[in-house]
This record gives sequence, structure tokens and C-alpha cells, in this order.
Amino acid sequence: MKRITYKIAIVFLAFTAFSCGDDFLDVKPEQSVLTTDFPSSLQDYNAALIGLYDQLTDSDHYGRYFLLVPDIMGNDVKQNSQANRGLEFAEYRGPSTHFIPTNMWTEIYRTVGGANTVINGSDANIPATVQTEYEQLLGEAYLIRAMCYFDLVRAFAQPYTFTVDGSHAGVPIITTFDPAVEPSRESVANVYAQVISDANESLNYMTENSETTRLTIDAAHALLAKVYMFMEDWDNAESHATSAINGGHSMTDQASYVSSWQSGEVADAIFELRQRDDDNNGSDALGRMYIVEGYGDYLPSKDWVDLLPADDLRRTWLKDDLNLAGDWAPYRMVKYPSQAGADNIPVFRLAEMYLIRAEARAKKAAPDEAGAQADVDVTRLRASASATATTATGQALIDEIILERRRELAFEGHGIFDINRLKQDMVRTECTSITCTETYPNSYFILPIPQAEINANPNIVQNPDYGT
Amino acid sequence: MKKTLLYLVALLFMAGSAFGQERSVSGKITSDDAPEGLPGVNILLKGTQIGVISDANGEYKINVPSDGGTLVFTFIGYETQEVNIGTRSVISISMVSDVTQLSEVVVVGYGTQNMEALTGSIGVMDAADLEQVPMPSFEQMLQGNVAGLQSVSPSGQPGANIQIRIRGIGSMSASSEPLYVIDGIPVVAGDITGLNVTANTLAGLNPNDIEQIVVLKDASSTAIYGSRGANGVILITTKSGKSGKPRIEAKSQFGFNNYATEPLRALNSKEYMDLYIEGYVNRGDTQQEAFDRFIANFPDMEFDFTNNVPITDTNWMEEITRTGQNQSHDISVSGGTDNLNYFTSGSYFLQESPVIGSYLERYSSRLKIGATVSDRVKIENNLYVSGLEQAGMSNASFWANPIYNAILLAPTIPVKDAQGRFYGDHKNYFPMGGNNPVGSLSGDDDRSLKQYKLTDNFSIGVEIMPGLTARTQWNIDVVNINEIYFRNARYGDGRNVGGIGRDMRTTNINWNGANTLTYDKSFNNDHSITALIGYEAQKVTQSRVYAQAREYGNPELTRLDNAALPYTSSSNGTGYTFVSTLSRVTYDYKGRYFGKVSFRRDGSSRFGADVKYGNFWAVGAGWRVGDENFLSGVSFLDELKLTASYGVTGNAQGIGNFAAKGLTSYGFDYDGQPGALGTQIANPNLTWEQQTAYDIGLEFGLFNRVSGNIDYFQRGASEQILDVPISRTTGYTELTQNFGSMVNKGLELTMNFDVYNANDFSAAIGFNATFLQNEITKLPEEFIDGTKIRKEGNDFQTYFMYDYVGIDPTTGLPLWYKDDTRAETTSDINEATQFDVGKTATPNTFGGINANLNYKGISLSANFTYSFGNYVYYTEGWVTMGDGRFTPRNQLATALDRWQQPGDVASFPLFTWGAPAGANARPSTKYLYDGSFMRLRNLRLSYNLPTSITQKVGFSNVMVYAMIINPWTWTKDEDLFLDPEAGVNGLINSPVPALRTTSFGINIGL
Repeated sequence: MKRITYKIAIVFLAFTAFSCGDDFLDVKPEQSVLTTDFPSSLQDYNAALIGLYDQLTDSDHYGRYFLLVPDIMGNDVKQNSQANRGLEFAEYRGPSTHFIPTNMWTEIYRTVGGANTVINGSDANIPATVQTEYEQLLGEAYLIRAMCYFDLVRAFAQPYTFTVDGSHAGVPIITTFDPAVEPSRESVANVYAQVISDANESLNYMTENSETTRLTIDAAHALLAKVYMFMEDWDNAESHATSAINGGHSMTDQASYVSSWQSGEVADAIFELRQRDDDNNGSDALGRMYIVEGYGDYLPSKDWVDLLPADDLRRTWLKDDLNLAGDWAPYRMVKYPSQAGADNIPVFRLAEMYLIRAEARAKKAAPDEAGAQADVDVTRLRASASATATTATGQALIDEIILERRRELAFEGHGIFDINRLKQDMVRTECTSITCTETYPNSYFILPIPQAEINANPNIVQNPDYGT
Repeated sequence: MKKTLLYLVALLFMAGSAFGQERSVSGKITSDDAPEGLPGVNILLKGTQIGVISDANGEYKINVPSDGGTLVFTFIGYETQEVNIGTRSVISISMVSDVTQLSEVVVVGYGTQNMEALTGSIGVMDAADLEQVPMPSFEQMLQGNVAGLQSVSPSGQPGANIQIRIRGIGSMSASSEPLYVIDGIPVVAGDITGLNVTANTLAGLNPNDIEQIVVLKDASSTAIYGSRGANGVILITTKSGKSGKPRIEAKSQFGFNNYATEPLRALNSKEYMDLYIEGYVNRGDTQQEAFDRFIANFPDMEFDFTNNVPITDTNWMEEITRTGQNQSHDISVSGGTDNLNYFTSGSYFLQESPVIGSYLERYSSRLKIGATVSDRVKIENNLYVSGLEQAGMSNASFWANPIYNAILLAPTIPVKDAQGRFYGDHKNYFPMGGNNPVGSLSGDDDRSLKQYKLTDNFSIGVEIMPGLTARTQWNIDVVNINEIYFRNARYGDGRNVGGIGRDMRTTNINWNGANTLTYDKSFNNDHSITALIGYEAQKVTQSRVYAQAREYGNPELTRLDNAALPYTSSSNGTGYTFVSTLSRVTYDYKGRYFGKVSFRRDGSSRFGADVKYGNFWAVGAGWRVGDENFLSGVSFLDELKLTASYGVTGNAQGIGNFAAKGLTSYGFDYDGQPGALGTQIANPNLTWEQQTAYDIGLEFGLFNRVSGNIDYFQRGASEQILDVPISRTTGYTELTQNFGSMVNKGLELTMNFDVYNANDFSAAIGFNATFLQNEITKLPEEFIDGTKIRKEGNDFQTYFMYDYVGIDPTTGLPLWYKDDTRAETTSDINEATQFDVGKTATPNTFGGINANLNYKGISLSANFTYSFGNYVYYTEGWVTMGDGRFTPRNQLATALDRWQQPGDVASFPLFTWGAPAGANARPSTKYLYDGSFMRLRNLRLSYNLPTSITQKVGFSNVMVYAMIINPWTWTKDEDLFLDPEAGVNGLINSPVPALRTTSFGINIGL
């Protein structure tokens, strides 16, 4: 007996001897790295940029709502009877607690934070041999930040020309990380200045100019063209649109225009967000808000359908659905047809560059109407075999350009942004909604600052008419 | 330092190999009511850990030192006797029953203690109350049985997770769940599934194996668990063999399950058609247009155009409802010799939900062996294995929740299509993706899990010298969960992608080792001291593998291999560690004055770099006033004891494993390339939540008939871990910080009355009540969390909503109070504000009532549970009985009471599809109900067959019984049509309602 006990004691001595060193309490995460160590290598910077692109595809940004909400607030889209998710904004009574503005604000600022990490990161470990690659990444980060601020200021603030000097409230500008920051809103003019500065900075670094699924020099020009269009700085809008048009990207020809959309590719892409079969928003994808196999909540409005000539190729985006009844009949919208949500997402297209340049040439101090007519005809003549070259001039030409924007760029998230920038009323003629007309200027043409931000940040001021 | 301690313990083992001379004493124990022999009596050699238990014949044999000593005979319900051994080798005694005697040895964590010597507050449940209750997990049985303990289940789903709160909510955002310790192992509890929605790891434990559950409530009891003691500790001790001839027990039970409350009724086809048409007419259609729209909407509806009524009339709720079966079978064998004792059991349990295709099934076995290797060395091994299957899980407001979509699917949609398959074509004309709950639960879909649990504890105890015992225990607890989530290709979530199959494997490994050294010493008969020191280390790791595939070829073959498109695959791992030193001293003077001091130092991988270690402690004192001379003349006083305790514990449960670290995570992939993004802000100061608690208790026994406890407690929780909302412009929504305080104070009252007690007949009644008050005492900024506002001075669960007034009889629109003055009303919700409506989800009072009647072998028992003063919120009310916002979903029958014309006094507004009034979407008191309820939890009638009969067939005892769970429910609010049992947060979101189980069983002893 004594010997047994003794042996047991020895065994236990062995057991206990190898337990619990001092590093027992140091458990390392298996799916994350410590932020203090990130990013440092080129590989890290690459991963950080990929992370930013993934953020852009988030359903609260380009992945769904940033393209959906401006359209359902406009007049090219009508709601199906069962529509639920965007209902409040389509009907102009969205509360500041609604998840759409809340998540949109949150996710876009999250992307800004990620871009700041790259922009403010150290290049101490970047060897000279990969300096070009590093600078391309840095340029993309600047451009992503510029795009984010441009989107924030359009969604949450009135357009640049709402006041003569852009002094009305924009959004906070954050360029460095501080967890304790409680920023107030910068003026719209300041936010635009930040966007232009970041976009110009990106041009100082980027060298790539052929990709469509990553940001390029052309994409920076496309953004700047768009920004100057909103500012009604027509000379700059024209010159950047021209740079984008003359860059490394090309228009989709008439023969492949329809099949391009049907296969999930964006026609005329300067920058499209890739959505692969195995990496997309799935049921949260933009297209699934429209197609019957998805939520089928939104339909093309009759107002929009009536803009298209009978032989217009863009009518291939319409599909008869016998199950639609009454005011909701007869069409579904299938510009993004993938049932799995695997359609690429349009962000910048050459078609838009032509239309921006057309508008700029028609509106600039010394109008170039011949140039404007040629530009607007690029998409008009491609879409319809029976269409003839535009001869309109003056206001009629401008009107035609704006209508062509609606035809060509429909369902790409331009709706209310264009209406508001053009100081138009929002009129739904063949109206299926309880909200059929909203006049300019209008507090509800923009989204409320999310209540969650107001609750956490005493320095932020809500948009007028959205409560306090 | 730590290692030194380990070596010390190990050395002490070796020291234990020095032994003294010894001999044995035997005898037989009897009592008035058991003249043939009293089994189960504890016989302990005083001042040592040497003890045996009398066998089935009341006989025992114990080894004692050659110079004798004192034997202590204890048994619940009998007076403790101490007998000096002297030179005798046979000692037979007769135990005297003692109804007021409170002495019982209970497990208190790293040791045991006499109940009479406790200085804190605990609750105890014994095997008899836990065996063969037709519920999957033991926590459910605690409800109403332990004062201060609130056990709620937000779902009647078999195997649903159970929420336990001991003395209120201990934490605002970390865990408020107690620590579960099974046979010395702090186990992983709660829901650790990844694909499914409500599963309970602890349902893997067979409740029939439990000998005793001890609930530690106050700081003096829980401080020995340090940073994990703040929310209370539930100690589970499994059964052991007792020396004597083998005892075989067989238990068998059959029954059936229904809902405890009426299932919800949705509109039938005719009612739906009328509402459908009304909803469009109110939108501007003519009657005919709306009718045509209705006919066009449902292409596969059969319709009687002569009488203008739909023929298709699907009652989806009824279609998914059945009577479920319940079964429980358990066999155990236990026994032992002087040197070896064993307990082994095997069990099978089945609970089928009243929802078709939904069930829980468990099989388990246990083997526990204790060997006395030498008279100073004891070794024990306790091995438990179980398998658990759960299927048909449903949850909340997802279209895939059958309980939810059975309400919303139109009754004009058929169950089956022309080919005899479950219908799915409504995916083309009805929202919600063509879900068909009947088909989904009948095998077209699969949502199930299998959980395998393996637990082993191995321990060695060595008595180094009289009174000094070293013990080392090594435990491993492995939980393996396989989850399947399959959605068919024809309808529902899998319809556009050829079916979706998901497969997730989770392995959770909990490793734990503890070495303790206990010293028991008595001086001069009056003083006795028990001192404990120990060292414990624990490591818990979890790893997961997940894969998803799409495009299935055969609807029967749901494994991923049968799919054409591998879609995603991933694996991940996480874990945490604790390292602790612990100590405790208890002191007993004359069995009248008691003191206790405990101290524990915990380090954890979860804590921030600057705060790795924390110290926790408690002191407690007890005074048996009733034994003082000055009360000796008070003849009616059987017992009177005062206790007081104070201490500081921590709550490290529910802190994320890496919550203190600044993290950048991968998985943000784009175009097939790996991406990373910041996911968490660093906080090196993040650490455990602190709790300072005190307790004052009074325990009493009167007239040999009445006994009870009163405890006043206060738990001050500070350094609360909160995800404090920060400006979202930072790129983050919150920062996890220690800040904020909350207090729970209250009174617990337990009373038991022996109403009548004669030879053949006895009647007893008992009740417990907990009066609880919760208040947030420090919160720099108030914040809104869903339907609640967290604000200083308020109860944590205070509802923050629009206050609904009623329906305006003139316009049919809902009216709301504009603000909390409740002076003005408006039907435009944009003019109204959300405010603190003065109601909370926390009950003022909760508890239980137990009544027992015994006549000869027949006994009738009833357990009630109740909760008063809490409010519950039906989160789906705005969808299931709204104003038409969700076109064209069906509605609950309650929604028929809507406004139709001026002058109508109605509960619901004008019904218009699309709901232009748009007021329903916000949290309002319209769907808030008084959740006060009382429920007859368990009614049981049993009959013990007379021994004269059982012995003829060779059984030592036979009991038959019938039992009903939840036969009767009363709710205070007559409008509350839902089952009142909600989660701690008061939210009811289309769960499976609580079950009513009717069962019949037999227990046989051999």
C-alpha cells in the first residue's frame, strides 16, 4: 500500500510539473492581428485595400442601399405592394432611427477609417523595389476616401449649390483615428474641398489605368468630373470627363450592350465592383430588390418606361410578369438579373462621362452645343437603331441630356441626387405611391443624420425637419 | 510562485505515504421508522475526511485508528449523533428523527460544509425533485424552487436555452448568467451553436444523474469562485455509489406534449379575403377592383364564384401542429464494498415538440468509481458520455421561422401542389420567398444538430496526516456539435440557388486542473477550523469548421457532397485561460458561532494587458441565537440563526475572449482576394466587472412545524463592461469599457409549513418569494437599446416607447401621446416622442409555491411559479396584427377588431395595405402587455406500492405516477394572448410557446 501511494505521488508530480507556464495567460487571437502591427508590409497594404473594396460592396453602400435609395426616392422606380425595407424613404417619412441611414453612415465612415489607416500608415518597411505598387495602393486609398466623403455629403447634406457659397452643413471630416472624437459637421464647401484634394492626391500616386474592378487614374477623373458637375463648375467637369473618356477604358458597343448587362458585367465600366458567384451580397444584393426571384419589392415606374422608344435596347431591362396586377403591372426590372446576386455593381461608367460632358458643354459659360449634341448621342444612338442625331439646342438640349441620363443611368443610384442638384420637383406622374409630388427645396430630399450618431455625439446637428 | 505551490502540493502527496496503525468498526443503524435498517447514513470519523455510508440494510464498516476516536452519524432529517469509539469494534445505534434539524452536508465549492455552519445564503435542490421531470435540462427545474433565482425560457423549443438570473441582472451587457460547476469543473454553458438559434449545452446532462444542486447566492458563498462568482454559482454534484449491496433503479416514463396556451389563430380564407379587399378599397380601389386583384393574386386558389368564397382554406398553424411524444427511461446501478464504490447509469430521453418535425433526443451513460487504495488514499473517476439530437429549430422574425410564417402566409395558398409536392409556387406572387412551413418541417428542409458530450473527472485525495488532506483533480469536458442547415431548391431561402446546404462542426474543449490542501482541526471540543488553499488552472478552446454548398441534385441527399457548387468554407478558433490561487478558512465555535473568510486571485487571458490579475474576497459570520441560554426558555423556538456576509467578487463571464485587444481581422474579401479591416478598438484597461455584495439572513424554525429563511441582499455591480456608443465617424460604433454601476437589492423569503403530520397523513405547504429592485446608479450618458432606455435611476429593463392611447373613433387612426406629460395626443407619430413609459421587464416579485399531500403511499404535489409586475413586449405585433403595412400578408385573428367606419371603437386602426399612416413601425405600448402570471408548473400524483406487494415480485419498491407540466396558467392582462413566459428582456418574438407535458411513469427499485 505504501508503495502504491508513493507511485501515485510521483505520477502527480509529473502531471503538475509541466502545467501552466507564464505564457498560459497569453492566448493569441486566431482570426485577427493586433491593429498596432498593421499595416506594415506591402502584403498588409494589399490586404487593407482589398478590405476597403469589400467595404464598398457592403449592402449599406454600393452593394445595395446607396444605389437603391436615391432611385426609390425619385421617379424612375415604384414600389411593389409588399415593399418594406425602403418604404419610409420612398414615401418621404423616414425616421432618423431607420436602419438605412444608420447603417449607410456607419459603414461609409468605417470605410473612411480603413482608408485613413492606409493613408496614415508607415512606409518604413516598404522596399524601394515595390514603391510603385505601394503608391498605387496609397492612391486607391485616397480615391476611396474621396468617394466616401462625396457619397456622405450627397446623401446627408443638401447639394453644393443649395447655398451660394456651400456654407450649409455637410458631414464631419475625419482623417485620423481618435476613438474619443465627437466632431461637428463641416460645411458642404469644406467637404467638397476635401474630396477634390483627396482625388487629386490619388492622381499623384496612381499609375494603373486599365482595370475596371480596381480604381484607376480614369476613375479619379470620373469622380472629379462628377464632383465638379455637382458644383456646377462646368469647365472642370468637362476637362475631367474628357480625361476619363480619353483614358484606358472603352465604351461597350451596340452589339454587346445587352449581353453585357445580362451576363452581370457593367457596360462602359470605368469602375465596377466585382461580385463573384462565391463573394457577393447574396440575398442582400441590389438586383434582388427588383427581380421576382429576390424580394421583388421595386418595379420600374411607368414614367420611366414611357421615356424609352419602342426599339430601345434598354427595354431589355424590362420583363413581363403576369403575376403583377393592377397599377403594379406589367414589368419587372432585370438590369441586374443574377438570382444569386452576382451582378457587378456600376460605380463609374464612360456613358456617364459623356453625359456629364454633354451637360457641361451645354451649360458652361460659352456653351459648346455641337459637342454636347455629339456627347448625348453616344448613348442615344447606341440604344436605338431608329434614333436620329440630336438637333435640339438651348434648354431643349439640356432637357434631352437630363432625360438621357434617366434612360441610360437608371437604377444606378442617380434619382434623387439629380433631381435635387437640378433643383427640380420630384413628380411621379403615373403614381402608385401615397407620395406623388415633393417640391424643391425639400428637407426630405436628403437622409436624416442617424439618431445613433446624435445620441453618441453632442456636437452633431440634425438635418432640418427630422426632429432634434 | 505558482510552480512552487504545485510542488508543495505534490510533495505533500509523498508525505502522505506515512501511515499509522488502524482497525475497523462496524455496526447497524436503525430508526423508529426503519427498524430493519436505515440506509444512506453518513458515518464520519470526527476531525477527518474518513467517512462511509450505511448500506441498504443499514450496515456499515469503517476504518479507524487503533486509538479510536469519535464517530459522527448524520442523516438528513435525523439528529446528528456523536459516539466515542473507545475500544469497541461494533457500534449500532438508533437514529432519532428531527424535523427541525437543518444539518445537512452540502457542497460549497472545493469542499463541503454542514448547512448549519453556513454563513451565507444558498439554495439546495435534491435528487428527488430532479428525477424524471419531463424536461430536457435541469435548469428548467430550478424555476420557482429556489428563492432569488429566476429561471426563464423565452422558447418552448425542446432544448432551448434557459436564462438564469440569481438575485437580478448582474451585468448590463456582459453575461448575467451564473457560473455552472459540475463535479468541480466550471463548465461551458449556454448556447454555443453557430447555425442554429437556440440550443443549450447543458441539455446534454442527464438530470437523473444529479444528486444535488446547490445554488450559491451571496458573496460569502461565491467569493471562492472569484472573478466568476458575481452572478452566483450553481454547483451540480452527480450521484455516487454507496457501500452495500447493489441497488438497481429503473425509471420509465411516457407522455405527450401540447402547448400550454392556446396556439395563435390566423385569419381563415374568408376573413382574409374580406380584409384583403378592405385593405385595397381603403387605398382607393373600388370593391370590384379589389376583388379582381384578390382573385388575380392567388393563381392556385380554388374559388367558389357562386357564393364568392375561397375554397382553399389552409390553416397553416394547425398544419404544423401535432401532439408530440415524451419519453424518459433511465436505469442505474450503484453499490460498493469497503474499498470500492460505483455508480453507473444509462438513460434515454425524447421530447417531441407540438411543432411537427421538431424534437430533442438524448442518450447518456455515466460510470463513477471510487476506490480506497489505502486507508489514506482515495481515487475517483467519473466518466460521462451523452449524445443529443435536436431538430426543427425556429426563431424570431425570420421568414424561415415556421411559427412566424404560419401566421403570415395567406390561407388561400395550398399546402401541396398539383404534383403532390409541398407547394412552393407562391414564391412568384407572395412575399417571404415561398416558404412553406409544413414542407420545410416535413423533411424538405433540415435544421438540426447533434451534440456529443464527454466529461471526465479524475481525482486523488491523500490524507497526509489526521486532518490534513491533499486533493488533486483533473477534468476534461469535450462538447462536439454537428449542425446541419439545409434549404431545399424549390422554395424558401434555397429557391434561387438550387438549394443551400450548410454544415458546421464545433469542438469545445474545457480543460481544468485543481490542487487543494484542506486542514480540519478541532480544539478543546469547542473550536473547530477548516482551512483550504488551492491552485487552479483552466483552459477553454473552441474550434469550428464551416462549409456551404449550393446546387443540389437530389432533394433527399442534403450532405454537401451532393451539391454541384462548393460555395464557402472556413474554420476558426478561439479560447481563454484562467489561473487562480484560492483560500478559505471557516471557524466554528461551539456549533453556535461561525466565521468564514475566503480569498481568490484570478488571472485571465481575457483581461487587458494593464490589469491581468484581480483579487476577490469575502467575510461571513453566523450566530445560532436559538442555542443561547437566554432563549432556552422559549419552547416554541426550534431554531434561530443570524448570518451576515460581505465581499467583493467579479464577473469575467461574457467578456469577449479578445475584447481588450485592438484587432484587425481578415475575411473582408473582394474578387477572390483576402482583405483585412479594423474590427475592434484596443482597451488595455478592460477587465472584470466588480461586484460588492452584502447579505443579512435570518433562519428560523418554530413549533416544530414552521421553518423558513429571510434574506436581505444588496448587490452593487460596478465597473460594468459596456459597449459605449461612440461617434460612428470613428469607423466604429462602440468602445468596450468598464464603466457604469447598477444595484440589485431585495428580500428573499422562504417558508415551509408542516400543516398536518400523522402516521398515515401529512400535508405540507411551502412558498418562496423574491422582491427585487434593480437600479442603474451610474451611467455617464443614457442610451437607448432597442425598446429600452438605460438611464441612471431607472430599472435596467425600462421600456422606452411611443405611448399608444387608442384608435381615434372618428378617423380610425392610432393616437399617441405627444410626450411624457401625456397631456396631448396626436395621430401623426412624427409629432409624438418616444419616452420612458414607466414600465419594466423586471418583475417586482417572483417565486414559487409548493404543496404536498401524502396519505399512506399516495402523494399529490403541486408546484406553482409566478412573476408579478413585469411587462412583456410582442416584437412582431406590428407585423402580425398591424395596419396593413405588410401587403398582403395574413394577420392574426385579433386584428379583425379594426376600425371600419366613423364611430367604431376598435383595437386596431383602419386597415390599408401599405399602411400610409405609417405609425406601426415604431416601438409602442400598443404591443406591451402586463406579463404578470402564475402557472401551475408541475402537478404530480404518485403511489408507492406497499412493500408487501412489491416484495412478492422481488422489487424493493415500486412507484407509479402521473404528472402534468404547465396544466394551468393565469395571466393578469386579459389581452395577453401569448404565452407569458418571456426572456429576461421581456421580448416575445414568435417563439415556440411553452409546452404542456402530460406523462405517466413508473420507478422500480431492486
